[in-house]
Amino acid sequence: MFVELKKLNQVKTDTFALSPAARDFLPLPEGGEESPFWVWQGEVVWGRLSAKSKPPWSALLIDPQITSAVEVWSKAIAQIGQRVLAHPLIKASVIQVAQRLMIPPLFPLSLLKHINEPATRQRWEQLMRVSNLIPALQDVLILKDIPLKIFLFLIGWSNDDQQILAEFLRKSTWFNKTSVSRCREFLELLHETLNSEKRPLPFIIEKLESEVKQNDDFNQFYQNQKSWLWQRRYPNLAKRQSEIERLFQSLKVPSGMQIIPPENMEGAQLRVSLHFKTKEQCRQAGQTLIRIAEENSLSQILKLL
Amino acid sequence: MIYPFKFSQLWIRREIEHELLTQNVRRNILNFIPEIKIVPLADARDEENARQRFLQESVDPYGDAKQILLLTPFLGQAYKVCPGTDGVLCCNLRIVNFASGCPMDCSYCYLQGYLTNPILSVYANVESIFQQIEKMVITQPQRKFRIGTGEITDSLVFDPLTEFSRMAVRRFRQWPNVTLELKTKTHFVEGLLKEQGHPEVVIAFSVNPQRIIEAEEHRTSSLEKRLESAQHVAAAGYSIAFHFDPVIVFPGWPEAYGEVVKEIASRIPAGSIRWISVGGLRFTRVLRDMMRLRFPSSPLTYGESVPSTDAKFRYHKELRIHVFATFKDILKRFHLENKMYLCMENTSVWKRSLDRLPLLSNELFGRPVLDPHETPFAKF
Repeated sequence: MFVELKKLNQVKTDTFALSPAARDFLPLPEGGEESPFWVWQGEVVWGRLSAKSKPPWSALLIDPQITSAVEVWSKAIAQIGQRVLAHPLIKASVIQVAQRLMIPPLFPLSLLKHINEPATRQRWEQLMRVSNLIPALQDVLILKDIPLKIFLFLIGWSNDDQQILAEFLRKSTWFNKTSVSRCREFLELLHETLNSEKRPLPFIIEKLESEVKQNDDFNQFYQNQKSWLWQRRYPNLAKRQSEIERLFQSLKVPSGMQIIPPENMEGAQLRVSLHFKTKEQCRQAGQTLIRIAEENSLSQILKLL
Repeated sequence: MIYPFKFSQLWIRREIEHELLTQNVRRNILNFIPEIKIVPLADARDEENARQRFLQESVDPYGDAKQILLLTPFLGQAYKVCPGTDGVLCCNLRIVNFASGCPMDCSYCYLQGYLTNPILSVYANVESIFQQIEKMVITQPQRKFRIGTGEITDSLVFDPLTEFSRMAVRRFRQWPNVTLELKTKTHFVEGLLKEQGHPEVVIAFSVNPQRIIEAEEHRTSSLEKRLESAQHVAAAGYSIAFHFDPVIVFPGWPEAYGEVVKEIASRIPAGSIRWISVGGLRFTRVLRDMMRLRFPSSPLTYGESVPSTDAKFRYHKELRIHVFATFKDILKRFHLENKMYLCMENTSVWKRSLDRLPLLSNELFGRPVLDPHETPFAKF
């Protein structure tokens, strides 16, 4: 049996082998088995599945789990239609179901193109591994458009660690409210801290929760937790930055003016940002700069860069 | 000798079958890998189709591509200026790509995040590549050129098959204004030893302490073999260079690198050493992700590396300055500090670690290899 997955209004068709058992679970249209095509309508008007018998595939194995697989697949395709496909967990579920329906050496890599992924065995395997993340973690991460690269390191975590992370994120006040980029940043930083310190996740999470106090302002709470992790991830750089910050404070830069060090202390240039409305404010800013230029702290800052 | 890379397939494009290099590879590869499957490719389209089919079915395209060796023509401009990177001092190296990709598998190798085509490719039309170089160098006799072949491959890793180094030495010694640098992590110098050595052919060994070689430089030659090879080629009259790049920080790194320098100093005459480059571990975001994917147990991306001015991750500046200053001290103990230069570093790090800038000192390459009108570090 062949199944053809067609996107309406597109000429391109992908054909892949399907277990004959799947035929029994696909909703049959009128015409039955005599018809060269079986048209199956999903939950949305996005696509159709059509199948026809082909001799080479008539003796393929039966997957006893296929009933639920078809159901999940239907939902996944429906979600494709609802344009929520970008989420790696949805893509992973599509691939997982496809894999359950099809015979191992014949996985239709071209299916990946339909979900905007490179049609390679490598990506297929990666998405399969993503689909094996524990349900509790999937339930939390599906709420955010977390990119695939984050999932690629999470798939290396043990089930216990996945459970702990799921629990931590579930009760984090900021996780649901803050932006995707911040969530991504936090997860990356957590992963890096674990690897740089070579400590188990429970140890880090426990320390994080005990040392960073809850804050009603979720933004501030997020910043504090992130900053705590950052200091553990880059202990020497953090020490250096706090030295520089201390020197900056001693410069007594007035409001309306900022002296900005290079990011991550890379580069050797400082930037000055000035805000003024009047000539007098401009003149005062100039005088302030002249004063700062003579400060010993500035010499020390320049020396450190 | 034993050639350690067991390619499963040799792909040969029809239009380069007659080339000397192709004949060398066909002859030598059957000695090393009698069971290899030879696949003829009719044209560029055939090559592209074969490549796509192979890569599509691979779970680790970059790693799996090391199973295949492709002999193909090079059709573009054969020499380029090393692209360097934004905000760093650049040594004006010219690069000639006679091959692309490498069968060795260093965890930090930048090619993983750089090459769009991971299939190991050797360009068989070497004569036309040489002609391009010749045109460049003989029409500008007043200029000095330093040309390297190890930018997107290892200069000697295919040599037991291609015998390219012998052809290169014969041609490059005809051009008095050119220094050729062959950079390697192998010990494959047999071909070079069959030719008369030449001081303007510099055999550059990329080195690291043996424990780093074992942990991160997979399928490369041991430090001992590299140093032994350096001794042989130095004795044969070639110049030698060493690249400590990337320097990796780990507990006890100063002692470990000190031992390597001590070995070098005790085995290679200082007069044979043209330059020693030192570069800190660095990687793009793309490479970082690739390293974590392909070498999940490697600790390299989890050091204190942060995005630098060119967006590449490097050890933070204070650490780099400390590393390079320490290196200078190590080299000084063996009177080799004047051979040292920094690879891909900015002026601030140069000044604070070495107390100088290359513009202010002309000792960098031992003799004025570079055009005096084109400063050694033009981007400065």
